[in-house]
Order: sequence, then C-alpha cells, then structure tokens
Amino acid sequence: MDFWAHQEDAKRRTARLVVLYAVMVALFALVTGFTLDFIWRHFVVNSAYFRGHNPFTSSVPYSCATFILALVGILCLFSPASLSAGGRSVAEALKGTLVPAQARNPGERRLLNVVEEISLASGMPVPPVYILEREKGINAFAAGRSINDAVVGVTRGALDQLSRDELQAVVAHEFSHILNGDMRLNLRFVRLFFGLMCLSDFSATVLRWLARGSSRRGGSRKGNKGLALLILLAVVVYLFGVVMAFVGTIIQAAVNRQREFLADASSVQFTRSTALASALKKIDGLSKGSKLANTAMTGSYGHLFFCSIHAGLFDTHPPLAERIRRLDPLWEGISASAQGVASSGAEPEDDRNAPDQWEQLRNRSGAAVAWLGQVRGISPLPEKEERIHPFTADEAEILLRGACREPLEASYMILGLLLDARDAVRDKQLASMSGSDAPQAVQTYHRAFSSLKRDLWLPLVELAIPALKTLSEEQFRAFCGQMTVFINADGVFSCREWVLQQLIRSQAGAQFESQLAFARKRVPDAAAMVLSALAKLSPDADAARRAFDDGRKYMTEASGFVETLLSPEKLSGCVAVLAGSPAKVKLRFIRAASRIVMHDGRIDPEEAMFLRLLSLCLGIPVPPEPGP
Amino acid sequence: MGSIMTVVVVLAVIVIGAVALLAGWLIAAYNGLVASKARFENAFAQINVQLTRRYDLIPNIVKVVKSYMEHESGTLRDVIEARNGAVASLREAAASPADPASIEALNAAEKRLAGSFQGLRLQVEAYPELKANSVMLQLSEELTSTENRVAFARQAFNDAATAYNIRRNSFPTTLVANAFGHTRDAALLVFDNEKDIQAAPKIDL
Repeated sequence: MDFWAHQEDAKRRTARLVVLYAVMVALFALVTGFTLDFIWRHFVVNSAYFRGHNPFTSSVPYSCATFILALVGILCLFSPASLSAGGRSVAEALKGTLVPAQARNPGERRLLNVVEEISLASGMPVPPVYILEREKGINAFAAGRSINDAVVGVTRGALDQLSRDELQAVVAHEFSHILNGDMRLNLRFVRLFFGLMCLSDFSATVLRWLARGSSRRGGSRKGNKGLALLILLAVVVYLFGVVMAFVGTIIQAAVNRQREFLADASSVQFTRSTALASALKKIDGLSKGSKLANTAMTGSYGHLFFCSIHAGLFDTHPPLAERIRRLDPLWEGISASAQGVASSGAEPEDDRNAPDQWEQLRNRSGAAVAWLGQVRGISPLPEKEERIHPFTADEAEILLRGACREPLEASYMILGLLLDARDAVRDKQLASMSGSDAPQAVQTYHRAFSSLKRDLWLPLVELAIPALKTLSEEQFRAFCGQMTVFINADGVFSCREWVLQQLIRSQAGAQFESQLAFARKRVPDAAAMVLSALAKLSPDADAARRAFDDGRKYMTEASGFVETLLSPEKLSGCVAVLAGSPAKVKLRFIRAASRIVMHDGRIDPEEAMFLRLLSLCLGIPVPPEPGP
Repeated sequence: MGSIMTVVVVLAVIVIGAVALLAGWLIAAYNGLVASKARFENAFAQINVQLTRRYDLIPNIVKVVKSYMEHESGTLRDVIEARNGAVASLREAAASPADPASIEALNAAEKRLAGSFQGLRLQVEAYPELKANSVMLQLSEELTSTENRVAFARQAFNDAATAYNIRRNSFPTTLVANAFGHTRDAALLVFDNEKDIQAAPKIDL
C-alpha cells in the first residue's frame, strides 16, 4: 500500500469528477436557460413559443445560462474561509471537548495513549484529541486542512463501549483518512456546493417573501401577472440550485464510500489486528449504532466520521455489512446485541501494561538514525561517553515524560534543552527568565537530559508538542521569544538549535498561521538552500558538494549549490515555501534530501534529525522508499 | 427588449452579489463566535486540572500540620471549609464556564481559600520543627510548583476568554452577537496574586 500511489489516485479521481460535475452543471444551466426563455416568451411577450421562433438561435437561453453560471462561479469565490476551517474549528463546531494532555480519568488517559501509539506507528505528529460528550452512539471523526492541522475525535459511546484494541483500530482508520488526503478531497466538493446553495437559498427566500406578501396584496391583473412571473423565475432558479446540489452530494457520497474502504484497509495495515472488524460488529449490534443525536450541526460533516450518520442515497459510508464482510469473509451476518458491553470498556488501564509506546519511541530514535540504512546494513555513529549525574537514566526519562504532558513544564523542558553548559552563557540565559522558580526548573531538566542514556531529545520534543499546542497565542509568542533569547545568548546558531526552533514554530505554531500559498517561482531557490544546508552537515566541503550534486539528480529544478551560510530566518522561509508546494514537489524534494544524507554511506544523528524535521514541516510523515 | 434584459440582468447581479456577501459574512460571524466560545470553554479544562491538583494537596498539608498543633484548630477548620467550598465552585464552573456567575463564584471561593491559607502559613511560621519536617517540605515544594501551573493555566484561560469578548464586542459582529445567542461576555478568572501568597509574610513589630 503505497501512500504516494493512493494520493495520485485520489487526485485523478477528483479531477475526473470535478470535470464531470462541471459539464453537468453547464448542461443543466442551459436547460434552465431554455425554460426561462419559454417563460419569457409565453408569459411576458405573450407570443406563442414555437410559432415563428427558433429557440436555439435566440440569444436569451444562452445569456440566461451564462448569467447563472457566472453567478454561481462568483458565489463560489466568496465561499467563506470557515468552510475550509482548520481542524480545531470543525471539532468545536461539532461541540467536541478537548482532552487535556494531563487527563487523569482512566478512560481519557487510555484514549490519549492510543492516539499517541497510532501517531508513532504512522510517523505522524500527535494531533489534539476531542470527545463528543453528548453522543452515546459509537463514532469517531478526523478533521483538518493538512497533517499538521489535523484533529481526531471520538464519541462518548465509543469511549465507553469499545475495548482498547477496537478503539485503536477506529483511531487508525481516522488517521488514514488524514494521511490519504480525504479531507482535502471533500473540501473541494464543499466549495462547489456553496455557490449552488447560496443561489437556491436566495430564491427560496424570495419565494417565501412573495408568499407572505401575496396574501396581503389584492393587486391588479398586471400586478398579479408580474407576481406569478417572479414566482416562476424564483422556482426555476431554486430548482436549478437544489437539483445540482443533490446530484453533487450523490457523487461526493459515492467517492467517499470508496475512500472508506481504503481507510479500513489502511487501519488494518497499521494495527495488524482484527479489532476493526469487531468494532464494526459492535456498531452493527448496537441499537443506537453510529447515529449521532446532535444532527443539526453534523449534517454537513457526515463525511468526516467513521460510520454513517444518515442512511440512504446520501450515505457517505458503505453499508456496515459490506465493510464487515471485506474484513472478515466468514462473518455470518448477525451481530449479538451489545448489552453489558459497557463493562468491558471501563477497565482501568494501567499505563505500564499498555503496549509501551515509549519503547517504540526509543526504538524509533534509533530507527530514525537507521531507517534509511536498514536496507544496506549501515550502522549509526557510536554514542558519546556519559558523565555521572545525580539522575539515573530511568528517573530522568520518567521526569521528562511527565513534563511532556504539561504546557508549562514542557516549555521549561525545552528551555532546559537550550541551556548552555558554559557558566557565563548559562547565567545570561537564566537571568533573562522571569518567575522565581523558572531557573531552577530549567536547570533540573537540563540535568535530566544529560542523564539520558541516548540522545532522545527529538522524540521527547515531539511528544511535548500536543501540550504546547494548548498554549494561548500570547503565551506561545512569549515562549518563542524566550527561546530566541536562549539561542542567541552564546552568539552561535547551531543546526540543532535551528531544528528545535523550526519544529516548535511549525508544529505548535501552525494553528496561529494562515494557510501557506504556493509560490511556484521561489521553489527552486528555496530547495537549493535547504539541500545545501543539509549537504553542509557532511564532514568536509568537497563531500558536501558531491552529496549535493548527487541529491540534485532527484530534484532537477533546484538551483545550484549555495556556498555562504544563510541566516536562520531565511532558511525558515525556504522551508515554508517548500511546505506550501504541491505533493509532487515535496516528494521529489524529500527524495533528494534522503539521497544527500545517504551519499557518504553514514547517517549522522544530525542528518537524521534534520531529515525528520523536514518531513514533519512538509507534512510527509511516511518516509519514501530508499531510492535506487 | 435586449436593453431591458441587460438592465434586469445587471440589477439582479448587483442585488444577488450584495446578498451573497452579506450571507457569507453572517455565516463567518456566527461560526467565529461559536469557535471562540468553544475555545475558551476548552481552555477551562486546563485550569480545572491544575486547581484540582492544588485542592488535593491541601488536605495532606492540613494533616501534617494537625499532628504538630494541638490547639488553634480554628484555622485548620477554616482552611478545610474554604477548600471544600472551592472544590464545589470548581465543579459548577467546569459544567458551564461560559456562565459569568459560576466564574465569579469560583473567584470568590479562591479568594476565601487564599485568605484562610495565608492564616495557616502565619501559624506554620511559628513552628520551626514543622517547617523543617521533610513531608512538609515536600508538600510545600509541590504546592509552589502547583501555584505556578495554576497561574499559567489561568493566563491561558483569560487569553481565550478575552479573545471571545473582543470578538463579541467589536464592530460589526456586535450587531448580530445578541441575535445569535451570545448575550454575555465571558468572565475572567481573577485570583489573588499567587506570588504574594508564596512569600513568607512579613511581620512588622
């Protein structure tokens, strides 16, 4: 199952459907034009329609059709930004409550652990998690414009009634929606419908106003005729909008059904278990099933959910029985009704008994160094000698993991990472902090990091990102300012510091930034700058040059090697330009970057860290296959 | 006939365009208000966690202090009562953070708790063995770090609530805010300055 092939497939299908839909809209507009022409001729001009008049050569139908199409096009342009709202806005519109990272309720704690595990399994950053408290049916949703903007939510019913494995399978299904870009697909549909709905809503309003008005008006004969004409016009336009939207929703639902099968299969790939089938069977057996109580707001969001919330033609999901059968061919077709199931979901889960995601993280930090090389058996660099510290390695890990869950502690932890070992610089850094106990906490975390057995700072920072996302905008800006002070204190800007700053700004700060635009002209220079920076991590200048040329074969549009060192802000700007480019460009870029790193046959921790950062910033969580 | 048609078309375009713009703005305003409100309600969850942690520490502290003091249990009773009152107000506020009355009640309960806890600190100053007790030291340390986290979470909540108030009160959203059901400004959490409480009380003789 290639992530990239699926993306291509999705794009092709959307393009085909959009074209088909546009053609249908044009045809129907033409039909409407002819109808309007008929009305005009028959009722206003009062001449017989077919005698002495050839409808196909008259200009009226075509101008009417053009006018309607232009109107719909203009209205589509005005579709408000809220339609392509970020993940958080959608979750809040659905009345979800955010689960804070420090949740102590065992059910919520388990949900957070499950989400973290699936994020690690798919290489994605951990998204914020929401709960739909008032929903007792079993359902889940994923929303957001991009991978860095994504959120995940489950209903209270799902939390109470599904076992841990089933919950994990459902969450994995939602994640694969995010990874396969299904949300962007649906956004395009939603934009198209907006124009049509505006038109039909307007004519419906006109109709309503006319209906109210006509009861009061006695009216002359001419007035009544004008009224009738207006009503007819409004009806025709209304029908146009409604029928087109209707047809469009059917098309959208059909596409979504296919994506659901794909997401089911991806979920099985991530979890490698039969839990998804059993979760679907549970929904089948439940009387409430997956229906949502609060349908007022959720009507337009049906495609975001795990299981259908309204049935029939507009069903955005395949039939439940069909989904179960694809996963479990031997299923008999009847599910036991789910009584007494609530108990199975409420087991208090001990954090330690759960499949240890920390183990996965530790292995992944080694894997981060080795994933490119595993095919060729290249080993990472040996680790540095450890000095004796009051913290044992285990104590340090526990302390740091705990700090990842609190926004304040996480910010202290990151500042502890940036704390310098030299006394003069360190004093300067600590002096810049306000708050009486802040310097103390920062130094504690600095000591904890030094006591770790391996260099686990990158995975820990990734784990801390969800807590940092809960900061308010002012707090986040203050924290970034504090980070900058710490970084500038020693006057040297190291690669590691830049990576850390870039990671936090792009991941935790993404919610405060507007969507990136595609600046086509700037991509070659931006790519050249970033690839040069990556190449410069090689041991000497010659090797850097050679590595750069090697990588450039994969992205031929990149400009030449950049000799002079760049300012950090410019480098961040280049990464931003790349992040806003289409998926094809990003894929070429990441392949080029991987090639550069693998050029000298060794993967330094710094190179692996840089590459991981690039994949996160660009929203490509899945490493591409190692190049030929 | 062609010119009449043109005039009608042009008029219709203008009218429909204006209506579409208005409709779009209304939708955006409504969604914006809903999202702001949901955001500050969610921000309350953060401070809920921190305040709960603080309220859980207090009975432990009272237990340690009680073992050192035989008389003067009036202060301890005050603290426990204030703490229970605060726990109840927190639960109410968590159920509806958008209701200014419940937030004000929480503010008042916190103030009362801070006042009685200050009285407790004054008394603890008089017992050096108590101050040096290892359990007491550990609990004081935890309390200090909890105060910081409370302050941080409170700041986050107030930022989100202020953002909602600004959105609700700025032109032109304020014209429709009441109609959309956003009739009240969000109340901010105002606790006494935690730093003053942490510092040892100065006794001027």
